[in-house]
Amino acid sequence: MSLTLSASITRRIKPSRALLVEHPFGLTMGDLHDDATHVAILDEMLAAAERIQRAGTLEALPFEWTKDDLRSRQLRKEAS
Amino acid sequence: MKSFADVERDYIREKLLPDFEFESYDEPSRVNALGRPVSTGTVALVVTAGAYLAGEQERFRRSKEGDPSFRELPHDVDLARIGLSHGGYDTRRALDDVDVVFPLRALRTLERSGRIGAAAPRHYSFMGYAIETDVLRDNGREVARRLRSDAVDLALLVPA
Repeated sequence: MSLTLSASITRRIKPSRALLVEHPFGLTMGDLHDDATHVAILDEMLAAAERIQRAGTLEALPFEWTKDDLRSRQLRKEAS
Repeated sequence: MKSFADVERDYIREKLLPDFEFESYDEPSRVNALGRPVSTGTVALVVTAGAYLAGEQERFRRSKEGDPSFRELPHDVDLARIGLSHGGYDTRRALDDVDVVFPLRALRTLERSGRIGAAAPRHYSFMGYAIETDVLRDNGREVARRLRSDAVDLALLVPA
C-alpha cells in the first residue's frame, strides 16, 4: 500500500494502490510532533489496503497543509 | 501548466543529469489481496526517507547518481538513533521528529491499540533518488524476500 506526495509521478509508476497526501516533502505524515495526524494517515492506509481492489487506484486524502507555503515553494523547486 | 513530474525532471536534467527521465509503466502493479484483516495481520514500513542507524550503518550516498541501497531497521529501535541522509528534502527539519518520514511511533500506537495484529520485527529504508534502477529493482526484491520471511501481511510504503 503506497502513500504518495506527487500524483503526477505516481501516475507514471502505477503502484497497485496509492493514497495522495498533499503535505510538504520531508513532512509526509504532517507537522513535527503532530502524532494525531501521523496515526490518522497510517490508519487511512490500513483501511485502503482492505478496501481497494482495483489495480492502479490513486485516491486523495483530505489532509491539508495550511501552516505555510512550503509545499507550494517545493513544487516550484524554490525550497527543499 | 507543467506537472510536478515535469518540473522535477527538468530540474534534475539542468542540475545533475542532462538525459534524465523517470521510469514509467503502461500497466499498474497487481493487487495482492490481504489474506486476513489488518487487525490480525503483521504490518511493516518501507520508507524512502534515507533512514539509517547513526553510527552503525553507512549513510546513503549523495551523488548525482543517487543510491539504490537499503537499510534494515529493527522495530524496537530508539528513534533518537535514526539518521537521515537524502539530498531531496531538508533532513535537518525531519530529524527533530523522524516520525514525519519514518512513522514508527505512529505504527507502535496502532499496534498498542489493536488496530493491527502486530508490527513487523524489521522495517526498511531506501533513499528516494536512485538512477541505477536495475540495482534498485534487485534490492526491492531482496526487501520483499525479507518481508515474506517475517510473515508480513502488509507493507506500508511511505515517501519523503
